Amino acid sequence: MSGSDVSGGDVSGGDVSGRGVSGGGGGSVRTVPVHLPGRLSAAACVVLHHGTAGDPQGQEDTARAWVTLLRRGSGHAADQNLEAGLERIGTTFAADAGAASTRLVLSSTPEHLADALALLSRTLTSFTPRSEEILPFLHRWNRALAAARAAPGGSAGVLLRRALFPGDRSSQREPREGAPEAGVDADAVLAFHRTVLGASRDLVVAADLTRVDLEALVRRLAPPSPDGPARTSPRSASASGSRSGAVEAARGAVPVRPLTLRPSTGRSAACVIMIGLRGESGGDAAPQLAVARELLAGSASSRLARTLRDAHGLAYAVHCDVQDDGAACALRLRFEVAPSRAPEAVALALDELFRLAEQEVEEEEFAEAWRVCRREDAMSGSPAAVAAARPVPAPGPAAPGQAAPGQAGVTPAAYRRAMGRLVRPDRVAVVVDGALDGADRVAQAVLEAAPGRACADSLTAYARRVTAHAQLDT
Amino acid sequence: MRRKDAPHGALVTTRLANGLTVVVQRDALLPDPHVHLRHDVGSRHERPGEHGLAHFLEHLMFRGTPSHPDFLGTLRRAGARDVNASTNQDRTAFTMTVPGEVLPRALAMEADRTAHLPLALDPTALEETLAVVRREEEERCGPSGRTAELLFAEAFPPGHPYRHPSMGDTGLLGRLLPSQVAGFHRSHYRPDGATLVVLGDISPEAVTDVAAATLGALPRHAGPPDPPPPPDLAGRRPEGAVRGPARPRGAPPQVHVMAHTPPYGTDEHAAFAALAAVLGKGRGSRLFRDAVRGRGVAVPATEMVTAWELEWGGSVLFGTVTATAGTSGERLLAEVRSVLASVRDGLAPGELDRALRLLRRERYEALDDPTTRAEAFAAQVRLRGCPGHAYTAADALASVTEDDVVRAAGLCLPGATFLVQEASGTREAVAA
Repeated sequence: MSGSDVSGGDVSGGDVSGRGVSGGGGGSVRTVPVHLPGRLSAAACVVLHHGTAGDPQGQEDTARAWVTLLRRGSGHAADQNLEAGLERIGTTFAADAGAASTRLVLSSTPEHLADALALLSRTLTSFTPRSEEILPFLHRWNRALAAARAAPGGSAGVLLRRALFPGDRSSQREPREGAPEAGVDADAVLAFHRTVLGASRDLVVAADLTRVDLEALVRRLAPPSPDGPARTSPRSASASGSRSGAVEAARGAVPVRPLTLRPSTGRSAACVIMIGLRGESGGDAAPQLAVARELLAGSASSRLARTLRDAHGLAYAVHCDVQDDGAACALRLRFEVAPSRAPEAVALALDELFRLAEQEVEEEEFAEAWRVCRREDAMSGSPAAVAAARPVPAPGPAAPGQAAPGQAGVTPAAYRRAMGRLVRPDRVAVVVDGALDGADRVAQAVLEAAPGRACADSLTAYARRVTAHAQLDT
Repeated sequence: MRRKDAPHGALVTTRLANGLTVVVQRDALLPDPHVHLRHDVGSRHERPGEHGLAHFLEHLMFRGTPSHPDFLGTLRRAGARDVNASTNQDRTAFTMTVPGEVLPRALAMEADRTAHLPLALDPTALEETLAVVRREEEERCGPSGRTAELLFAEAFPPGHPYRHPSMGDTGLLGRLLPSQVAGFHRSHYRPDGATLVVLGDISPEAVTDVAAATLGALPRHAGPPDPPPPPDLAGRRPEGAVRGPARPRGAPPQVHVMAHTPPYGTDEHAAFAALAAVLGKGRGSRLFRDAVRGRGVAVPATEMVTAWELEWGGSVLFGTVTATAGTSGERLLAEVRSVLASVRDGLAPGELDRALRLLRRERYEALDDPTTRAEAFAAQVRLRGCPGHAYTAADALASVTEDDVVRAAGLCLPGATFLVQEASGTREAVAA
């Protein structure tokens, strides 16, 4: 193998001992071994450096469709060769397409990891989907996607992205029930297939390395197809333009829509509320939002758990994540409430969000949020699979997942200032997916919640934006 | 104090004078200790009129005490994370991850709330906490939660402690007095019915000393004895029909199945876990190959059969599958019954190996995960008196034979309870 590389750094609770390992063929494969002494399970992650950012305009979700096709099979070869074959050696397969890379994770035991990797490698090499095989799969896949989004709460994520990034063309394509043919087509999948197989690869192996023959393992992984990128279709090559809308939106060129209401579609016992905050990729926003995620909803004692659940009995579970697709990033909150209490819940959640910009977080709470960002992956799930699936260490600015608070030099005061720049009423979007009378109820509830609050000005400004943009509500 | 070598680190087990069992494992990969405190009280310990009280009490434990009125906030400020709790039929568990230097304080707070929670119980506390429980019920017990409830109610005879759901009856809970809740707490939150597990890069001896000085100082007192488990229910044939909520309009029919097995923790349970994997784990399972791929009557990835881990007298297999468009509930039921019955004719070459390898990897991953490893240690202390049995139980899967699985199928599947949910309503059938 030519171009093998070495990397190192703290990937997980285990020890990363970077070393180059040679395989056969041409192309570049970087190997990252993660030593997890005493662990009984083992995992490998093949990182293919091509992802959703290359999805062509109008064909967003192509990467995810390819991943699903590879996992589930088109009904023929892939199904027989991969998941069913892996099961026979007790191995499970997970795959995910991110903005810049596609990750294929094998969860196995030390004794079966090499065979599992060999099977995956063979499948990647021999997997040559044909249009007539893909079409039935895509028909089912597009229809399932449309149905999922038509379900109560199922469109909240799409609506939130549309509200946060109105200029992003990928968020404009709202799947419609009864129109399953809309969505990804076979040509786009085939183009992605050729491109992703030609992309450079990393191999992360997380296991008790005393029980795994790393050299033998790496030899099982075929290098990238040397002629893959040359066969990239023109449609795929022009794909970067599809993200320009998101970049423009993230830079503030297109204003955020403050409130989107989606009427109830049958079930009226509860409604789903999502609140988003728009940021920009490439700067400090993503790590800062990751800390906000921990502060707001990272645990049973986080701020929103105490406010919405413990103090007011509004929502039992509050979910929060940070999405970063390489062009734009956003903090997303999601919870479910009784329809009659939706306005109250929105006001309380916004109060907690804006407070991050108005009041300094206590030293202990802040340090703990940083610490959790650093360690969360090491403490949940199978350590081998989690370690294998984590981003490969790369040089760059410190992020919560990579640096301790002291190293990053961030204090609660500095964090509050940063959040002051980020958490502004014009960057916040709210989606209510369920029964609710109208936008005025939300605006009124937020206005009523404002007096006496530390973030009264922000709450009032948000409520005014809702009133001003009420005609945009769906 | 007993010491036993184990893959993740030596296991040190100590029984304190007040009856509390303390298990400590030094795991160098866990810089912050993970704490798991199990109380042997679940929904099966509830009497008529107090169904749901064990779970309600779990929530009340976070109300704080006069010494620590803000229990969660105090722990969070001290650096604890992942502070959580859960209740099932057999036990209530409280978990957290704490920096090592905070462990003494965290265990002292656990001891404090175990001893003094009744002081914090008043009508307001009950009312506020019940509002949270009701919210949890609304969010968690949707159609799928109701399905399990219906199956348990049909599969277990009246009066059986596993018959009612852990969530219980929130209407009845609202009528309980603080004194009744305090009485339940006193009866069941006692050291001789509790197990503390601590995993981390820490000294087992030091942790045991800290446990002795905190939770070990709780007075020993006898609670109600655990009654003998009811008779084995495998082979029981349910009677009558259940009616329940229909699937939402437009939603495809679903078939659910429940069958009795020996209790989790017994040697016999492994064969039933293997049977569940043969039937409904992954794309090589019989349900996938026959109902999804073969007949096309079930939606891929909706088929599943799993072996639950109920500890007392018996456990269950639970399965579910969703019909493809145009397939009736009746047709799907017939197919599922046919798939289940087919196991009694024997297994195909490689079929058992596939199931056992999947199960073994799953159990190894669970042991690698500190939260599920701690849970397994605590369960094995109660079931076998030895936390290390969590490892041997995973390895014991290798000894399951085809005959074992076929025998298990013959024992449990003829008496299985089926539930068919479709838009027109829910009905029940008994396997032929």
